[in-house]
Amino acid sequence: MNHVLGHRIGKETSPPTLPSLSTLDRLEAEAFDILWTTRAELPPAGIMFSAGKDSACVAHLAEKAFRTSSGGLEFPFSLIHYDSGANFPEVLQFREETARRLGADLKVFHLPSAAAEGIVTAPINTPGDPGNVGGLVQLINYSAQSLDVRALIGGGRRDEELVRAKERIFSLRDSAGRWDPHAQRPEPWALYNTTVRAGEHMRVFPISNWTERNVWEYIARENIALPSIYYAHERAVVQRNGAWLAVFPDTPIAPHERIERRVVRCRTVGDRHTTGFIESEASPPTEVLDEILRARTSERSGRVEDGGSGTDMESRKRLGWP
Amino acid sequence: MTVIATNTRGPQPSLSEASFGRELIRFNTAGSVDNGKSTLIGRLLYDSGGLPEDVIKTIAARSRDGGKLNLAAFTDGLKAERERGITIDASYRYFQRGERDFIVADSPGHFEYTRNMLTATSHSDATLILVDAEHGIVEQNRRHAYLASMAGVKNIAILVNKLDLFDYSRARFDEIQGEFSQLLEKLPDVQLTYIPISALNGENIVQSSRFTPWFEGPSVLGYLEGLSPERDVPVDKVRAVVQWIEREERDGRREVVVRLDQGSLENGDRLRSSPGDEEVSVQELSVPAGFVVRTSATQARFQVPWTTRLQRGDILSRAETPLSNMSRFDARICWMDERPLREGERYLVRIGGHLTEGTIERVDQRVDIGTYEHIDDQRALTLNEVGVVTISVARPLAAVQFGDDRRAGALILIDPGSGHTVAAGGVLKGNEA
Ligand SMILES: Nc1nc2c(ncn2[C@@H]2O[C@H](COP(=O)(O)OP(=O)(O)O)[C@@H](O)[C@H]2O)c(=O)[nH]1
Repeated sequence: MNHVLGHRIGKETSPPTLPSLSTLDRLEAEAFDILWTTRAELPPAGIMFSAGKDSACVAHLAEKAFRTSSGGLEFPFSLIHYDSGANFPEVLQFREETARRLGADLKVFHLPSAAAEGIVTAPINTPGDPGNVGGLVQLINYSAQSLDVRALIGGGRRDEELVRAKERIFSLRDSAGRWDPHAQRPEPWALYNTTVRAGEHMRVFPISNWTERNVWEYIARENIALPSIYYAHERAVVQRNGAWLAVFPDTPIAPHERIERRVVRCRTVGDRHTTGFIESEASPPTEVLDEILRARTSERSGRVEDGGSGTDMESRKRLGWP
Repeated sequence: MTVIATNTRGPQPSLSEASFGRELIRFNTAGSVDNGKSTLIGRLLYDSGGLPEDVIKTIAARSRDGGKLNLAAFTDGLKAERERGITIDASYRYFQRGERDFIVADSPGHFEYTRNMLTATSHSDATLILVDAEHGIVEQNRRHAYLASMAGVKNIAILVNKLDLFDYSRARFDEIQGEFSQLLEKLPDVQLTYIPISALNGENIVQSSRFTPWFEGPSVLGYLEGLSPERDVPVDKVRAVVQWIEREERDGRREVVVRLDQGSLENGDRLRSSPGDEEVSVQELSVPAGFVVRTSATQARFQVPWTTRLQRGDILSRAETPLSNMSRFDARICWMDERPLREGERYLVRIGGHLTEGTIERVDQRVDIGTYEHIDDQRALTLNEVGVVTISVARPLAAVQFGDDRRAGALILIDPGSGHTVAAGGVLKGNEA
């Protein structure tokens, strides 16, 4: 009965049954299915590759779904990076390395340049919009049009946030990139409707059903490379709104604020001006996993841009936020 | 109504618990509006210790009654839902406990959202149907049980809720069970479980309640922990769906990638494809690291001759027990579009991994999902109606009945004009091509 290594053995009943799949295997299988479907029915497609852990997972899943047993890989998606112009250097380095390793076509959309060229008209880097939401939404929609892709694959997860929890795996965007939460297509039995009409495109979320914990388990199991700032390291930081922010030469420091050196890591990566770090000694993925199991706060709380407010996310997503 | 919730978090999990071998159970809640679905999910999430503190804070801030916690607010994510105070669309939540990960879909109660209920329940290993002890069994309860069964769910639990309003009366519980079971017995191949609960007070949710000493069954969480996941299927049957055929040639061969839905494979196995009717022998089987050659892995790759006619969506089964093909079939479907069904018009049919054109030749019967009766009524189905129809497809497909395999025997219909998914259901019987 021992068919499979690392799995529970099937019950000794008759007729014999196979051991059930583990959570990660079931989630992985679902993601493969989504990626194969996207490849077959929605070419050309790109992965929205922020170089964060979720998009690194998606890129790894795509690699695993398409690498042949002899080791060949024709990576079927472009990697699209929306560059806020304020990335951590570690993230940019990781972006380049990943594209090179996969042989993927890397497309960078640089927000400040797009603003200078008039492609993005929303104000960027305004106080109260630290995530550059308006500008990024325009940039993402512009990328879908200019690359003429039929699908943008993202690393969004339903456990991140209450509105995201309702979104479909194949989620349609109209020609202006807008999402209509009340006109979503049902996806029974994982039968996806991939119909897109002229001007529309699909956002595809292969790891919709993964939790933060599942992502870290998968990173540990598969040995997936990540930007080094996900792991404990020492850096200059300043305490702001309950989180540690990285200090760079161009970081404005208020008179009452104190720059300190701490051992920290981040839980999500974004703009280097707003990404919050947590104090942590966790270094290999298994230690991060252990830390997450003990954590009492959800990962988005590390971002200054939103207090996890569900409704804000809905308004943003309606406009085209991934 | 708001709730003061007690937190019964267990001890901190350790890394050994984070082993990669945990199992996943998907379930959904159903019931009419105000039967307590959202409260139940809030309870399960909160009492099982699966909620981060800042989420609790956000919810607490949103609860109408200030400092107290509104458990139902954990699931209603859309603005319109909070404004109208109801659940419109399915919402997915995640928690884990011990060796199990759970994904729960909170599905809507209103009749106008029947299609969302069918969708939510289609992914489930189990469906929990809440019956309000105060109102007894209502139309929506009957409908939801039918839809769960139609979606292929084999485990249905009837949770008799708000029993606190009846001092946890056994008589009230028995009365409801007696009445409901008469109808539910008509559902084929379903395991039924009845549990008396108070979602609000957390009775029989995580632990057995001291108020129902007469009840010997499990708590809701105990029930969920006792379920076996979907994959317990016989080894000897093979159902592999072709996902991808590599274009690269190696020594006159190329690689085919399959999704192994049922059974296991090893080198030398002889398989036959449907609808292509091609025999292949499994050679140079390779599977993800961690699996031995004989595999129950979800993704398997092997080599086939370069000249293969296999196509994406073809189903491979053992050569001794091949599937037949069908070009016309009976299906039971739920109509999901505002625009009624149109006989004779072209729809796109997605069935298993295939996408092809098809026509609904005729409506044969309508199903009253409140009484489970099949009615000889051939008028066009409208939004949320269920019926049996005859569909013909432009090219033959593998004949798989939904009752045998809910993955390969399920279908959706797409209106090529609007792009909407207009119907969903399963194949009842295929007719030889
Ligand atoms: N007395 C009592 N009230 C309950 C119970 N469960 C839910 N309720 C109340 O019933 C109402 C509807 O609950 P809700 O969870 O929103 O129902 P939903 O529409 O099915 O999601 C709320 O006022 C709840 O507080 C229960 O076990 N006992």
